[in-house]
Amino acid sequence: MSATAPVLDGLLLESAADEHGKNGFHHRHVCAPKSLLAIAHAFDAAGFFLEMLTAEDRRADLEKMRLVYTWNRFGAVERHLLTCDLEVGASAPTIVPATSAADWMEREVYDMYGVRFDGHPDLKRILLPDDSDFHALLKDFGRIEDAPAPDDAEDA
Amino acid sequence: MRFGLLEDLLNKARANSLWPLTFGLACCAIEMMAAGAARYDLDRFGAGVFRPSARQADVMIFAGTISKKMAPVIKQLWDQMPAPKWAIAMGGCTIDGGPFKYPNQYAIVEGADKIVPVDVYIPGCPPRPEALIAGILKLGEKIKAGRRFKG
Amino acid sequence: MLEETRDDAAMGERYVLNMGPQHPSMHGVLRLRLELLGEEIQEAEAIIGYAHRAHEKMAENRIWPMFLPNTSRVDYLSGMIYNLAYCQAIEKMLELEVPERAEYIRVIASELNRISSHLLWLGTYVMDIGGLTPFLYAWDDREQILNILERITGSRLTYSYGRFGGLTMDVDDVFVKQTEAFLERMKGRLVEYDKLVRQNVIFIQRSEGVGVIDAETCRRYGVTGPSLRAAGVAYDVRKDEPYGIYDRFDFEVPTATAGDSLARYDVRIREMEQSLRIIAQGLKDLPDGPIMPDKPKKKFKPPEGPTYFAVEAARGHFGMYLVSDGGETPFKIKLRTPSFSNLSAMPEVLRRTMVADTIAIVGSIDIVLPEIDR
Repeated sequence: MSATAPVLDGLLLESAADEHGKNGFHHRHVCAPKSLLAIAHAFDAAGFFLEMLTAEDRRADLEKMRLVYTWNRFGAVERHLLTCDLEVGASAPTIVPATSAADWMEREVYDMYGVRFDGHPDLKRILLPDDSDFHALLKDFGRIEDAPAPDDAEDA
Repeated sequence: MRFGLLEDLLNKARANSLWPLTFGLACCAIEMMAAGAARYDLDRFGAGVFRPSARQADVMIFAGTISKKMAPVIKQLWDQMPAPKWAIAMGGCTIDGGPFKYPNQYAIVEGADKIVPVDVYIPGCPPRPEALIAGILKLGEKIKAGRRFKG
Repeated sequence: MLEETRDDAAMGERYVLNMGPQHPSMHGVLRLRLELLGEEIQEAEAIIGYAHRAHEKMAENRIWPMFLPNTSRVDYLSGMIYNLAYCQAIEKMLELEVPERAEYIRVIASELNRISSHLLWLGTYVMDIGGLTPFLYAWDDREQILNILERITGSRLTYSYGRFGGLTMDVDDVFVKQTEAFLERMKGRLVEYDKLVRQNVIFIQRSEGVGVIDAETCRRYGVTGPSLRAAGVAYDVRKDEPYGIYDRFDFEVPTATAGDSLARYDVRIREMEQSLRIIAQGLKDLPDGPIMPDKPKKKFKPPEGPTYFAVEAARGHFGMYLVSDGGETPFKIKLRTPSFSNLSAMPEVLRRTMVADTIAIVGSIDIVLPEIDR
């Protein structure tokens, strides 16, 4: 497989080399939601694979939902961290046309964070029961300090 | 009465040939399989014949954490088992949620006895194969004494 | 949808078959929804989530050290590797130095764990195909490893052996002797497995050409581990992104080219051989010294920001994406597990295969459901 550099000109808001030995990333990038698919195609064309896709609930400090992608290569390892901040409630474009790995990964982000991906072939929950009415990894859900008081009558 | 002797014989037979359902959920399943393997050999207790179908099994060994998504499946399998049937809760997760129990846990059912009546509880995380064997023998004692939950 | 290239009307209508989540094929609680036309799978859907235990939420809810018991339960067959991976990730974030002796023991323990995972896979995979005997042999070999590790760690399966900066307990001469004896024993056993399994006609017929996953498919789905190496790509985190002291060890990364189930079997056998090599080197070079730093870290607040740390688990590339907000509790820990990506390729791989091969194919990629569902 080809080991070329991804052509990301004009697609990123910020980009910088990083110290892999310190944090595990060779490069860090920030992009806007509209560039996600083009960036994904660029990485795919350069022989990279989508290593990880997740999200961070940054509503408390940034009032945004952050999408986090890492792209990497087999062999000449080069980890690119790509973050993309979304307005709360906004959706992101799917990158499934660029890489099939995003199919399940985007479903997991939807399941855990409630972020929708426009154009995803079948955006449905993947881990939680289908009839769940919550998104598990949001910061205002499921915290220990919010647990209901134990019922005294219930057998522990 | 003569029927008492027959019931005793039947219970001895049931206790010495418990056929478990192949039902591993998580980590405990590995120790359950190890109990069935060569070193610990569950077969010498008559319980080595794991049945894939619930309709042919008489004991359901819950081996692993019960997630909320899995709970209805478990109930369905339990209902499919014909009486007399027994349940063994193997491992901390099936007793009360084990290492995954914490206040406001959203994903798991904290204990198998929230779904089915459990006959024997085996603590451990995971319990050693010997512990599982001890649990099965304990269940055997319970059966021979003629005690079980109805249905 | 697929084009219909033959007279499907004559074959009858599609039949939907549900496999699992309770199923005798021992892969955990996986549910496969298969659409069949006759014996051939037209569409396959993998439905997961039946082992979702909220690991990532637990990480966010409690302090950093409290995630240690979770680690080996994520993939309990590579439990040692996962547990040590979390320790190493924290050590990276805190820039902790690990004593030499601890590093060597970590490598030895991890490779023993890898061998025990592959042995378990060997037993269950051949059992899936119908060979019941190798299961008993492979699991007995595995018991030897479990004995060795239990004597040191107290655990057979879900280890919590690592600590931030080192290990809980030291190993002794008995450990070294037992491990050397095991290495000797395994040499002979691998020859037996070759004769019993690899040269068996039925085994070959049920594995050769079955479930081919090529390198490009692997890349598209992020498949790593033996499945990727069986497709010809020599990617192994221990070589390509070395961690710990793996760069001091002399070992090969076995690959095959066919990408079928037989190739995956061969790669795993040869990986076990390489692990034996690594362990032998580790025992030879094992230095004296402490296994924990003078001032071990028990409570800490890692610096703010994200970190990614990867290891080569038995199933492939296990990565941890840890985000600290400078506090005692993680802001986020994302577990990038190899089985999740490996299984995501299955619906495509299973298309147009025979339903009788489904179990063999899914078995040959070696998945552990709790690490998929987390």
